[in-house]
This record gives sequence, C-alpha cells and structure tokens, in this order.
Amino acid sequence: MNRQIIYVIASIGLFLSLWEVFTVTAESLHINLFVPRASSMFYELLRLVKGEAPVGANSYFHILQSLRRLLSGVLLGSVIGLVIGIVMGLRERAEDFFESWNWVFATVPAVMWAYIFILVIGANEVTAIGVLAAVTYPQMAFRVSRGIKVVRTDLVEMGKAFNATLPLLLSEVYIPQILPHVFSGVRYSLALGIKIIAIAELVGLSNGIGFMMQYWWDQRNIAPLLAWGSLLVFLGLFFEFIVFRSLERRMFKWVR
Amino acid sequence: MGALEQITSEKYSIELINITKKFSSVNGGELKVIDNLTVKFREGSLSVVIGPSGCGKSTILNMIAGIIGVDEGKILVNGIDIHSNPNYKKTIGIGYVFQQPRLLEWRTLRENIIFALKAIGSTPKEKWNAIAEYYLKLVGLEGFSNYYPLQVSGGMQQRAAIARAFAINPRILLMDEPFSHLDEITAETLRNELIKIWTIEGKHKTIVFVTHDLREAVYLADEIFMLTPRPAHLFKHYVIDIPHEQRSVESEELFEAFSNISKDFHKMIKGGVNTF
Repeated sequence: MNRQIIYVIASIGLFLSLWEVFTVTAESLHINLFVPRASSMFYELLRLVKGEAPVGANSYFHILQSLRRLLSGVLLGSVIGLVIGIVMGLRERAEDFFESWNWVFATVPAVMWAYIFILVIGANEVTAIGVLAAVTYPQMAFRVSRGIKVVRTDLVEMGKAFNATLPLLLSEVYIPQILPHVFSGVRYSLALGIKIIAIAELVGLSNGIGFMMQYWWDQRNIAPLLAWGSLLVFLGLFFEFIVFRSLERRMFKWVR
Repeated sequence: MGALEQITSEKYSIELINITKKFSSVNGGELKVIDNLTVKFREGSLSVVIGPSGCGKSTILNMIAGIIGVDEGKILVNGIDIHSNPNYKKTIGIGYVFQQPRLLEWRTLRENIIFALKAIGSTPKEKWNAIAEYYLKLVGLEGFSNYYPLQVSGGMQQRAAIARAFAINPRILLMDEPFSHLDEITAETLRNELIKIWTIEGKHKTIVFVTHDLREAVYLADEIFMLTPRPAHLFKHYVIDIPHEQRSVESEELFEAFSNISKDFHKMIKGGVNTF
C-alpha cells in the first residue's frame, strides 16, 4: 500500500480513537456533550454501506444523486473557467473584461447563489449544478489565465515556425503546459463543490447527502448526521488519492 | 582569393531585399537591428550567416520563417512575397532547427516529429509514423522513438530536432546556431550528419545556417554572408568552392579560407561599425 495512504489512515484512526475515548470518558462522568461516540457514527456508517436509508430507495441513491450533481457542476464550472481562463491568458483586453466578473463570482457566498437560483428558476437540479458552476468557475479561470502567461514562448514560436494553427498550438503546446494549473483548479473546485453541494441540497432539494443531513438534523439524531457528513470527506479522499493521483501519474509520466 | 570567389548569377530560393527591422528598446525608443539589408540565398545551397553577437542573425531567420515581420523591404521565398502570401509555408515547407531543441517534453520523440507533420498538414496521416521512424533512424535515434525528450541527452534531443525539421520535407531549412550549446565532439558529429542527411536528400534543400563560429561556418558553407555589427547590413559575401566530401579539419584549403575570412572579420570589428 502507498505509504502516504497508510499515514492518512493512521491519522484518521488516531483521531477517531481519541474521539471515542473522549466521549466514553464524558459519558462515564455524566457530562452531556451532545456528541455521539465515534463507534456510534461508525455503526451508522455501516448501515449506510449496507444501503439503509429512512427516505428514498436506499443510501446509494442519495450518494449517487450528490455525486452526479457534484461532477456535473464542477465539470460545467471547469469548462467555463478553462475557456475564460485561456481567453484571458491570451488576450489582455479579455482579461480586463473578465477579471472583475471573476472576482464577483468568486466572492459571492454559495448560499446567496443558492437563493438567487431558487428565486429565478426554482429549487431543482439546475439550481444545484448552476450554484456549483457559478462558484467554482472563477477558481479555474484564475489559475488557467495565470498558467497561460507562463507558457514557454519558445515552444509557441517553434509551433508557429512550423505553421501550427491556433487549435493545434492550444492542444499540443498550451494545454499540456497549463495542465498542472487545470489539475489544481479541478482539485480546488471539487473540494469547494463538496462543501457547496451539501448546502444546495440542504436548502432546497429532496434527495442527496445534504438532504439526508438535514433529515437527521430535524430528528436531532447526530450520529447518522455525522455518518452522512463523513461521506463527503470520503468523497474528497477518493478524488484526491484514487482519481487525481493516478491521473497525474499517467499524464505526467514524461517528467523524468 | 583561393577558395573564395564572388558569387555569380544563380537561381535564388530566398531573397531579402532592402530589409530594415527595428525593435522596441527598454527605454521606450527604437532599436534598429537590421538596416537596409539585401542578401540572396542560392537554391540548394548551404548558406551560412555570420556576424558578431546581437547583429540580428536570428532575426533574419525569424523573418524568413514568418515568426516576425519586417519594417521595411520585402522577403521573397521561391519568388513569393511572404507578406502578401501568409500561407507560403504550406506550399514551400520551411523547417527550423533552433539553438535549443525546443521539443515538446510531454510528447515522445516520434510524436514531436508528428507534431511538425500535423502543423504543415501536407502529409497523409497514415504516413506520419513511418516518416517519423525514418528520420529518427536517419539521425541515429533508431529505437528511441518512444522516449520522452527528458529521457535522452541534449545531443539526442538536438538530433530529434533536426529529424523534425527534415521530416516535413522542407525546401528551406533554417538553422539557428543549432550546435552551439553542445560539446565539440557531439557538435562535430552532428555537423557531419547534417551534411550526410542533406546529401542523402539530394541537396535540393536550401539551408540557411546561422552561427558565430567561423570554423563551423567555413566547414559547412557553400556561401558565407558576413554581417556588420548592429544595425546589420551585408559586409562581405564568400563562396567556399570545396566539395563537402573533401572537407576535413586537416584540409589546407579550408584552413586558408578560414584564415582569410577570420582576418576580414577581425578587421571589420576593429575598424568600427560598417566602415571596412
């Protein structure tokens, strides 16, 4: 097993153990912390793995709903950000035009976007995806535009000397060089998206991980609420350690 | 003048006519790099442009390649005015070997050659792999086609860059001090290989080779164009009338030519700009 994964598991294990010891000690001293034991949360997590859910078909239905919205929103935001970022990087006037808008979109809180979308188009799938795209696209645009500016001009010159068209220059010269910036943008967008999707589902949707967290909060049952919430953490870890690391290994194999 | 002769009338592949080129200087003014330069490169020749550092040698190649424009004058490539025919590279084919290999590090050596073939766009896709393999073999890189540039030495990278330039079957090949950053043994090997490949290809290609190394110039050139310090114009033109197969480092004729050109070069530098 990868050494880094062992350290991550050890770190999480240590945290859960301390949590368990702390809550058991508090219970034995009759102190009500309103925090369940780690083992209770773990038990609820096992129920989730088995597919149990009080509403909806099963737990996987909710997980897949959130995952679908998350990926759609981040993909949409990333594509928009990539296009705007490339244009900003290549053309100074485009940068002047988009820069302030990017800041507006980057600084408006996700909850505000959620309310704006709900007011305009109602609480539906498009709202969740739209909120995600609106919040994540500036992250990609900023990174890509900066990336384009540090692209090796000698390679661009080489491409032009060989009569390369702009699409060929983009696909073979620019994009491979800005890939680290794109990866950074998608990573950050996913991390941001995981937080936001819970809010969007909590505010106005009738399924998904965020909705289930709201459901258990309404029941004032904290252990399953934390179990559902922890799924978001697992999603983040899955993307980082399974998806991104293996993609990076494949895409940057040319680095000596 | 021994091996040196004045040029007679020939068919020209590239003609730079009354070229003037200026760049913006750091203090906001203009820096004239080339001043009213007229040079003509004979078809099928290996012409070497020499001159002191910063005199605009690379600028000449960049203007021929269409990377930068001219401020005054015109450039004819195979009789075509390149500024009124921006697609001239598609019909004529211009290969370029830079001082640094300028390979795409995320592409294998074969894919780097395919990039140039894609860019030129005149070769059918199904031939790309075979062409890339052929030219890699020609420059001694057989078996390295799937290596990435960072996995091979600097000399091998420059071989790949030469293969890339030849692979598009250009009628004009521009070479900007391509061996200057290599050790002398590798550079000498590559010079010989350049002549070998050029000969294999039938010496149909016009090569314009820029260098500040007079020995290299004399060893390679059919013709030498010596430029003055900036703003550059043509100082002197030489023809080296010795067949390439007879050239070696021990050749007395070549040494004589080198001595004469070297004397001229030093007189030009000592005598001040444009006064000789």
